[in-house]
Amino acid sequence: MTDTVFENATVEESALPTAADLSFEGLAPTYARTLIIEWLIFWSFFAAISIGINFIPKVEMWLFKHWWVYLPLIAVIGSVFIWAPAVTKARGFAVRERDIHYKAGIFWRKTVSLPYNRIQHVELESGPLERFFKLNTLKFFTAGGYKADMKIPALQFERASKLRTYVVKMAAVIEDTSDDSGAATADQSSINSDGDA
Amino acid sequence: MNTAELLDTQEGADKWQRLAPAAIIHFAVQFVVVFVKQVIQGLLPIIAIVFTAGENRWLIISLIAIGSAALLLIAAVLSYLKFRFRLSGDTFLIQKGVFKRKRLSLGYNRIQNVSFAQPIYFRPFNLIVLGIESAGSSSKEVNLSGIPRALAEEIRATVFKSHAAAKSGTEAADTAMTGETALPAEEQTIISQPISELVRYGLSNSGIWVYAGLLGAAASQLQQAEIDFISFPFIENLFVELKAYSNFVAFIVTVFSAAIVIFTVVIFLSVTGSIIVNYKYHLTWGNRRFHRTRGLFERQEMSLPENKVQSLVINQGWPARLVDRFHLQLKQVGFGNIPGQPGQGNANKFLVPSVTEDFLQGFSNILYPDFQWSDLKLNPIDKSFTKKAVLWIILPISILPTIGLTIGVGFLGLLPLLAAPLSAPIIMRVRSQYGYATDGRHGVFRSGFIGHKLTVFSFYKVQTVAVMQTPGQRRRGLATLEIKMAGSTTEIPYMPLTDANRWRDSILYEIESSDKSWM
Repeated sequence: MTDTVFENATVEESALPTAADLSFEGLAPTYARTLIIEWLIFWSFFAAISIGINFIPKVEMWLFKHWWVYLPLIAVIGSVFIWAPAVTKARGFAVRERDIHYKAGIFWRKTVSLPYNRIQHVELESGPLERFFKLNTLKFFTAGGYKADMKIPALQFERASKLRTYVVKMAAVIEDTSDDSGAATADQSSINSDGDA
Repeated sequence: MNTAELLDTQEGADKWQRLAPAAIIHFAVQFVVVFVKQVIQGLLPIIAIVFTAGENRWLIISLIAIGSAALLLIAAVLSYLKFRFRLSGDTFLIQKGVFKRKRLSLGYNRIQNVSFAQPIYFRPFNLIVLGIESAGSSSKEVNLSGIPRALAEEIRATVFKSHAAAKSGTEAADTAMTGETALPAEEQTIISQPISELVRYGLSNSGIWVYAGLLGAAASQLQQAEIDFISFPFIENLFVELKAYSNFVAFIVTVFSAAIVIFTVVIFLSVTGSIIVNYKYHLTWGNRRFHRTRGLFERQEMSLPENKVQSLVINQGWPARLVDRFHLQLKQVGFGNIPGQPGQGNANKFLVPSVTEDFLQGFSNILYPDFQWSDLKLNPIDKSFTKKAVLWIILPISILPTIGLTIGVGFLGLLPLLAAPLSAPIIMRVRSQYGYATDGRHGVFRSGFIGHKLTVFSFYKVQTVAVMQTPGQRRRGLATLEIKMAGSTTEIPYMPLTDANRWRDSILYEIESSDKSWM
């Protein structure tokens, strides 16, 4: 059975039939920027607290009075400028006629493969930061778990809706249109208009 | 009640109906169960007050008893009066609730399965609790508690018929593919378990060790309450003598005797539980469905269509090894692992308890006729699994307490480091128990420590597959394969990358080339 030649041509860049040698399409380069901003917002809280402590009277925190205490904090915050571009580069997806693949991870690498005929529904999402950069996250759900089995972040709107239309067309699944975000509603029309994407 | 009347005409089914009046008993029992489970702990202080109330004690107690009995009766009667159901075309309608009205409508095509249960108090009336499981969430379960058996059987037949009609196309294709001739309508018995096997199951069920832990915890609570276990004079004398001899010996003897007592109680409870739940366990196969009947006080009937089975799990934990038996589970679509949601209860687990080794392949052949996994040699996972676990998990964990202890107590603080060499043989054993094999269309995967667990599944039932690699695995050309099925996830660690890729390609091929329904 394993010897059977299985035709499942990759859709765009790649022309190889095994899932081991797929060539992946990258995410939007602006994705690194969203990662950096998220990281900075997250850590700025800690920074604010540890600096703010010094201004509270009667609190004797000798540790926070030394400048070198802040070195690790600065290192952690600064590291994002190195790893965010690397993470962005490491993530990518590959679309074939019958399945979609998503890889992630710089050191601990993972490639998830999702056949279209196991998709229960697809969701298109964009958070506030993503909306600012005009990016969307595409989520695929199967019956394998209660959360999304595959999340493809940082897709420009046209790309995301094209991808979704293609996958939905191939899967012929009833998709979740209850999403009330503007992006999803707008996308609803694009499914009808560029159905041949 | 005349059941013929109920089934007489189609209009009979298409009207709002009540449950049988005996359902009042059922509601009352349900209330008591809920009460005991949830409310009684909060009431303990009140009970304490009552018992210390002095002269009026008996009056207060009887008043409370009469009051709660009356409340219970009223609640049960109201629940009965307010519960109505209706079968309309291909939909199931239910109205219920005393204070908050609830209306449910459930299409037959959304119904996953229908189960029967007959509690002991329904036996004289030959009434049934009909359980309806709907697709997706486990919380949407509906019970018709107290309808005549004939009506229950008719409902089940109607539901199954509508299922068959919905996918008669694929069903026919399935039978053609497996090349099996149509099975006779009558059911063939697969296994009937005598009491002796149920005792074996009770002895070797791995869940009993959970109970042992709970009981141990309860025992320590009792000790805190200063209840004197050793108040029998002869035990006390023995204890005093032991203590005179050596405190240490006295301690050891106490621990051991406590362990033996707990052990005996746990085994007794487990065996009794096994007999009560699985009494007259009877499993049959017919019309591509498994059909199971069991239970002492409450007879449960459940059927499981073949296509709902996601995988076959063959369990032999170490206690099961001692009695030389295997416990099987037919895994279904289940979302039991969702945190914060009630999981599939034990009642819904489809277990085949206590079978011998000869039974396994034959039983597996019902589901996977052309997969002779017992003839396959399982591939081992890579040896570096052991090294990785010891050096990267056990050692770092043991280093932390070592640092703390060495500062505190000096050289003795280095003792935790021994965890790494001591755990090595255990991890080597775990590694050797891992094994996997495939024929390109099915997979078998084994894991365990002293005993083992064998999972057999068809590739087309898989939902997603992922290949993962750590830096170390990449250097050695290894990978971890993650196979997600509806309701369970299997990870095969440290297999050669070529094998992982081959598994992924075959799994994807099977999923994408098969239009067989996975559920």
